[in-house]
Amino acid sequence: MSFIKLENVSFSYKNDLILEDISFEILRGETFGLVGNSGSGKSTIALLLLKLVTSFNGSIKFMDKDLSLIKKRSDLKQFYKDIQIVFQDPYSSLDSKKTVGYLIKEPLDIHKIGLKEERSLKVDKMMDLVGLDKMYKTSYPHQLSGGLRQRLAIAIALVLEPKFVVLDECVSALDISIQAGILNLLNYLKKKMDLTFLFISHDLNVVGYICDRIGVINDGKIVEIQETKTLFDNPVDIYTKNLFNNSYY
Amino acid sequence: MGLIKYEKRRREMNNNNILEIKDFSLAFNINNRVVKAVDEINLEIKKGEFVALVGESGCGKSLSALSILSLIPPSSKILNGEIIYNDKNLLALNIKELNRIRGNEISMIFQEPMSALNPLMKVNKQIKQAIKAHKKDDLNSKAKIYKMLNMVGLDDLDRVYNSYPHQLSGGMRQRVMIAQALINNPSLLIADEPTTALDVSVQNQILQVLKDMNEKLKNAVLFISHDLSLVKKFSDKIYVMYASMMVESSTTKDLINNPKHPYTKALLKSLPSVDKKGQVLDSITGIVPKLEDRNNNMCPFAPRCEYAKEICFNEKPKLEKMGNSCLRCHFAKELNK
Repeated sequence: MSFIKLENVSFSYKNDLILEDISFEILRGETFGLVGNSGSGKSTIALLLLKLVTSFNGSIKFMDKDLSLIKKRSDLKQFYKDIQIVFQDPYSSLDSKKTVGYLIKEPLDIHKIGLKEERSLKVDKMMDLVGLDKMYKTSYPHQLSGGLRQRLAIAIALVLEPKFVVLDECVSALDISIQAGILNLLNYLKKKMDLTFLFISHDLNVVGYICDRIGVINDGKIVEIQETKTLFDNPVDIYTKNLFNNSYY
Repeated sequence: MGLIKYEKRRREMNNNNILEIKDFSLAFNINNRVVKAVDEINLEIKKGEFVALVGESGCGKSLSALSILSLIPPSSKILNGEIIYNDKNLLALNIKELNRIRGNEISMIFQEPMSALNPLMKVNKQIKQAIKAHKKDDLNSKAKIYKMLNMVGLDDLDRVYNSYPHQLSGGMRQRVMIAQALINNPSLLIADEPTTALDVSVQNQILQVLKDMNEKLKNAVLFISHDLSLVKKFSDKIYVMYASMMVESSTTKDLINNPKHPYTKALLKSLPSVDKKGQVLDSITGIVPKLEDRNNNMCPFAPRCEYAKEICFNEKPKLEKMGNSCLRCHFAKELNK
């Protein structure tokens, strides 16, 4: 079953064509990777999927529902609950004046989920799940290390129990010894919470490890979509061949 | 006099090293406490060798490299050690003598080509500057620059020659920087994360250029990176740093196939790759200690090390040699029987 489906999506910004005729599907429960150079349009696709940018041509379907048709307040609320994003930089994407506990609880408050007492319990459970110790509940983000901050960002994204999460370069800013822990966590949470991931990265080792299928994007066009193994062993497109074969990745 | 000359030549013959860092320590004063950011590191680079220095952010790898050319921040203090280049201790030189070496015999390229190049100066003038500063022949400098730009893989030379840095792409800028660094034919090029700010495909091209130049011009390269999976593909020797300390060094082949230090072992196990798909990665628990929290009288990796015993927390491990490797670990022998 196609979970997310993009059909002939094009997007331009100030007369520059950023995305050109993009079509691909993300299946339920898979980790779909997007690889490409900076400026190739990877993150723009994420913005379109999250409905943060709405002026595009073509159609995007999320669980067989056209994104442009999600307009009613209640539908929108459900949509924003189902779809979440984790950004690259855990340093700048967290509110520095709020405590860890508050940051995780805020989405629950906004979406009015459960009773107030239950919310606090849910926060505890979430912190446990992502491997954040309870003692950090009253800490501020700047008191956490990079790895813990990224765990916090993941906790905030997952506390609403979304169905789909966009991970935009979410391990690129981390040290290697921390990276492995986050990647393991993502794999664990994906199984546990029945998630679907869109994993955007330029690091071929990371993408190769975590993704089931990979789309390669160059200059706003998808040049190749393959199963991970096939793509690494046998890239077809010239651009992809260049990327993988002559590469020190 | 003759004897000194003979002695010098003998040392040169025995010793192929163009650069030797010996027991070098660098410290900062934080909250009235002396904290070592670089702790007794040893490093050797042979003629024409491609050496990689790897470590996580804040481990002191960049500081070590900057100290070679005495580019360290003024707030830091050198505690002990020597940096020997051509029988000269670089740390003892005055600024005039240093400037004769900088950009001439040893040159350096940096991570951000945008901020390292002068935005108000055309490419040709920037490179000419490097030639002029060392009073090399000025007459055919244009031909020399063209040749060098071509060598680092740039085409459309006329345009590049007359461009300002902002008119070039990131990869082109990095090539210009390499050209500038190599124009005086240095015997050592220090490259401080030169590809981190670049796209993957451009990264490869730049690495290829560095490798080609290393083979063509026979200049040694000290390549600093945080990415072990990257450097293992092309370096001759790898040095691994962790929290101010040089934990292990070896030939690339030995280090990758037969790592001896627990940190290197754990690091290699935790690297993601296609081949490990579906497996759980072995991650290292805990975090790298912050500079101000570092205690230089213990093994810095001990709190995260699965083999750590009491002695690891109380005593700094000594440098030990095992085959091709040098490492600092109390249990080096026990772990590598």
